[in-house]
Amino acid sequence: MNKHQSVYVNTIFLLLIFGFTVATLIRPQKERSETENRVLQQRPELTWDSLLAGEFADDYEEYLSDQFILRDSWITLKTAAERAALKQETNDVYFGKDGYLIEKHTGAFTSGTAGQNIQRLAGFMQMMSEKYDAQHLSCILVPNAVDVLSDKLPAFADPYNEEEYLQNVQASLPEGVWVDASQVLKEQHARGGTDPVYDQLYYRTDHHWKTGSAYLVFRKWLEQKQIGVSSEEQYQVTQVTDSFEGTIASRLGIQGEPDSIERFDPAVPFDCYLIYNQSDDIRNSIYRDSCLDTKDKYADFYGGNYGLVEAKMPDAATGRRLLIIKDSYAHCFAPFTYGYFDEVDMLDPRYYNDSIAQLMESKDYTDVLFLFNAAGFAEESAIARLLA
Amino acid sequence: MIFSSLLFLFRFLPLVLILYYACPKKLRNLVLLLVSLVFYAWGEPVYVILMIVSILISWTGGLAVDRFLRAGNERGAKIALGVSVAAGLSLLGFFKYADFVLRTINDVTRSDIPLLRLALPIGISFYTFQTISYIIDVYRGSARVQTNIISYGAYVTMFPQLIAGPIVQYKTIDRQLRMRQESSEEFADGVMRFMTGLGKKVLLANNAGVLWDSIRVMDTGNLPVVTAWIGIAAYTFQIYFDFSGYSDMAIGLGHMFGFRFLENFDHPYLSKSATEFWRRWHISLGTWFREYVYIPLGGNRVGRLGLVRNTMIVWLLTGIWHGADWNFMLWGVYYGILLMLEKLVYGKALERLPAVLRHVYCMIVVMIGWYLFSYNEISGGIGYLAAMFGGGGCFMDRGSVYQLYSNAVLLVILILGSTELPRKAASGILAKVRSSNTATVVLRGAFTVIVFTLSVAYLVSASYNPFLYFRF
Repeated sequence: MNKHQSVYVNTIFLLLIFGFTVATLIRPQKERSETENRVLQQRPELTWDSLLAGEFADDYEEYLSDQFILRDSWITLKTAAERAALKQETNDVYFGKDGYLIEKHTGAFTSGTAGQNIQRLAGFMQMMSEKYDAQHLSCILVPNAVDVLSDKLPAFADPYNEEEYLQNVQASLPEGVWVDASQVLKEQHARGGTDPVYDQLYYRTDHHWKTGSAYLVFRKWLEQKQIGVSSEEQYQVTQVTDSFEGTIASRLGIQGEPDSIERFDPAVPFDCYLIYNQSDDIRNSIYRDSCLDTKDKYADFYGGNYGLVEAKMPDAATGRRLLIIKDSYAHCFAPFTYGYFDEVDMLDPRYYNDSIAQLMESKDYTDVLFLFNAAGFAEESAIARLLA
Repeated sequence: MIFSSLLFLFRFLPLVLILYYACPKKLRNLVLLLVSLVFYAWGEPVYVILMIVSILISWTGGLAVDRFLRAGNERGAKIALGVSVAAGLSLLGFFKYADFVLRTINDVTRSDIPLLRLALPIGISFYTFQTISYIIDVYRGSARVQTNIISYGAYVTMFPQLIAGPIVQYKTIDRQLRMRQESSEEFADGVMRFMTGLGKKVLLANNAGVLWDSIRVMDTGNLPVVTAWIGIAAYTFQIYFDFSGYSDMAIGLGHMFGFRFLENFDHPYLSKSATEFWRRWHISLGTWFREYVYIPLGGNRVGRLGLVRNTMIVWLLTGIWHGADWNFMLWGVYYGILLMLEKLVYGKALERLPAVLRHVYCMIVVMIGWYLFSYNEISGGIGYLAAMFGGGGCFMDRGSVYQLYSNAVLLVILILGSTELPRKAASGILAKVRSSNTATVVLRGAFTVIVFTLSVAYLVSASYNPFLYFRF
């Protein structure tokens, strides 16, 4: 390189380094990321203690990464580079067929927590079975898309077989408690139908199951527990949006093929009101349509995650009260139960901080249902709170 | 702090460039010393004191050795040398190996001495070796004594090579420390070199690492042969691009501040024997052991038995230098034995084989070597080694096919990137357009912008940015 050329090369380099440095310095901080749906690290305070403990260093680096200029676009670029290199997966997500982005859940089922949670759930169910017989006590673990939509995976992909784990869970539970969601969904998928409401079982861009899948499993539960019968004519199905870009697409920073979200409203409406977190936040609709204008459209159901949502159906007169211990997979499932109980409480052990045993004692439930997605259950440390 | 981080690229480096070039030449070593201390102290604030102690000991030792030599007091010089080298080695020994020794004692005597659980001071193996080389060279008269503590401190702490080498011998940069001429040309060379290293580390090593990590966690009981070899190949590439990329970045940064460090890697995976591999891999470490251990022991002029003894000492030390664990010792001994075999037993026969076969031989022994290097739990390790030779009970399965085709592009890039092809292609193209300033600038500029942009994209999104050589 001669002098002349070197000056230009150096200028390019210095512009890149200093340009981004200045840009990251003058850019105002963001509180949270809409696309990633999480709070971003803020510039940490410098104190002697935090400095000496190395905490400041860690927080500052996280801050720099979280607040980096054009963060979303960099992530998009990385995913594009991976696809250009013909990778079939990135960030533990398969680029599936027909626009499906499918989480792989590497290691979720083989960790120590996964094993412990089987014991914890078994312990809890054992305890429950002293008061509830199998007709009134249920456990549903919903398999994840990677397990059900195996034909949508890239060729030769060989993810963990969730069935193995689910069978271990089932074997540890009291007789009759297990409701086999996996069988329902796999049979439905094997039929190969093309009805957008009942045959697309999972969102292409999000980690949740669709409302139609929840309905199929709900019906199976209803029949198996002999609570009642349900037919499709009982519902009015409405598509509330067709532009849902879920969490998986966000995580990869890409525009996926947008999904639709369906809502099943009872053809014969009944009264119902919801009490959030035992506060004066009382609502008379399950759905929060303002969420449909945000990124997190799945929060249309109940407005997202809450520790406790109590639903009362004043005119039901069934004499039955149901407790659902759940994660967000239950949000599109629970509304179906409302026609069959006087009261349905949804408790999320990840967010409910009081004693679960005390709540159960005070409410005198007639039925208990545990509903999680399989990978979420295997990874969730809050399962320990069932026994606390 | 590591180079391949947003913090380094967009906080530390710009600040250092401003400080360094804003200061008059007289103050530049001081600037380097101060910023290097900050570089080291970031995330490791306490151990910076240990490094300063090590610097003071070796600097004083050097002065004492020099003074005794001038006074004709050979004995005094020897004592000063011995004391300061021993002090440096004790610090290294204590902080790096104390727990290993205690664990071993506990295992052997079935006792239960509590471990110290000290965190390993980053880079201590590198800077201790630099300070030792300095004192020995002063004693031997091959390096001038450095009376200025700032210049000496700048040499030991200099952030480009501080935590992962190359192990710079004082005598090779003595003149540069006293008077160096920074220039635009040299800076631009540094930019190109730094970008090469950044790309090797962030784009190649990290991606190879993702592949290796996905395979290493698999159950070795039914791991197919093909998958096991893909895994160890991925690790083989990860460690090369990681470490040589880091050396490239160090050498490039050195250029930006007017320093010329010696090369540390020379396409090691093109080697055709284990002996040749070690002439091309981590050259500064091999040189160090040859100059300060092997030759002082008598080298190869001590008869067959002495040769075997010297070689095994050097390789045992090389192994243990890489980490305080049995697998590193085993790895060192493994190479000691291989080198002996090549020298005394089948070296001649090997040379008569076709080049392709010699290359295959070399890569197989190197990959088995990296397998030893990667496992510090013997139990998991044996299963993996068995799987490499069919212990998993199957040759290949769906997963093997998937790993091969979904990483095909990456693997091809990694293989080509280990050869001389990229360098030859680059210099061929640049030679063609040498007369055109515009074409040269466009090509070099495009390379810089592309590597920079992709690397930043990976750094911003990737949680995966480990650095293998932190242990040493």
